[in-house]
Amino acid sequence: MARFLIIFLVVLALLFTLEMLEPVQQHVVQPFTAALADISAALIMPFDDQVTTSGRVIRHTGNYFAVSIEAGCNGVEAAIVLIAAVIAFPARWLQKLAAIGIGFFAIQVMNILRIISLFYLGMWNMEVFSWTHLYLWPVLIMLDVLVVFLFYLRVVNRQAVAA
Amino acid sequence: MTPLGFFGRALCLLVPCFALWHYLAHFIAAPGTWLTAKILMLWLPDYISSLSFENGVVTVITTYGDMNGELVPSARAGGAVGFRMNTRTLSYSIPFFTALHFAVRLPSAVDSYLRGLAILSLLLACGLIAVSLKDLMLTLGSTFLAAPSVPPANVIALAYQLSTLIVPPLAPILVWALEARHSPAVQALFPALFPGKKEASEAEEDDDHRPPPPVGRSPLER
Repeated sequence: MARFLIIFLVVLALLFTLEMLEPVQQHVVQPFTAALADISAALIMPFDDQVTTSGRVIRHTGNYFAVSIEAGCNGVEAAIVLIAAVIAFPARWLQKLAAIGIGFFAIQVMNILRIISLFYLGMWNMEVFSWTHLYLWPVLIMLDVLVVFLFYLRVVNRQAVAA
Repeated sequence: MTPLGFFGRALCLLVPCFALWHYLAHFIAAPGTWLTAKILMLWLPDYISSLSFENGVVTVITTYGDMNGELVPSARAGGAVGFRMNTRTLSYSIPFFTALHFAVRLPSAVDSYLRGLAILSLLLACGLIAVSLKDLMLTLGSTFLAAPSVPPANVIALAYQLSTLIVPPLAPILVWALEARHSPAVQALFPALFPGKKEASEAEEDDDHRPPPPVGRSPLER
């Protein structure tokens, strides 16, 4: 376990530092976050045509409520945790790449659910919005990462036994 | 119990754990906050004049005040600038850990729970220190950063981001995994993590006579 933990923490620290660098923020994280806002709005629009986006901001044209998707709300940190765990666990690189791809998708599905739910919670009650945003959703997203990682371990272990 | 059952129980337990934490957040964060106050007062006595803790919020008063838009010693300014930190933004790791911990039966559950709480309180103190450094940097600017005992701005920024974005949701899982890894119930629950130990776990858990487990590779045993 010590080896797994050391590799995991080192990769986590490296990827997190990389994410914080200005060029990475400017050319990768912020465009990705803007795309997330667009996807969230595209999913809302069939049910609510008063929603628009501008960059990382999702806005309701009826009551002018708006949310801006900031660092920590784009699922990138959760993805970094998953990538670090997958890299730290001994498996074939093809398996690792598949896990990272599928895991990233699973995290973003959950994250879009978070963004949409927070958008409507904020319109309803700011106190509930803050509470859910700051405390509850980070826990649910990290539980999602844990579920994906445990599922991956199960698949890798089965394939190792079959081989 | 199945893995799905475990996550279902953990999710159900999150509700009472978060409810309790919401009302007891002040007391839950008290040990970590006390440690933070001791460390900061020893480390930065030239910049922090006092720290108080009320209703889960830490108020830090600096030794500087604002006089005509310029930072000067508080005695000269006739007042001091300060900032507040909401400990809940870091201490939500504790109800999360509690839900994970009690979602499955563990041997010496109380001992391992208290150990986990102690580790998370230490991490809470580290997080509060990182947040304090960030707020001191933003409040006092170059006056603060010029001090020899203060880390560079980039290090403070990274420590702050790590302490607020990664540590609170991740640390409970790591602490839980460390505390629970010797538990037969957890080994039976997640055989992919402990393939060689499943048989023994099943014998202890007793209920059925499933075929012996496959002997695969365990990531946590290497």
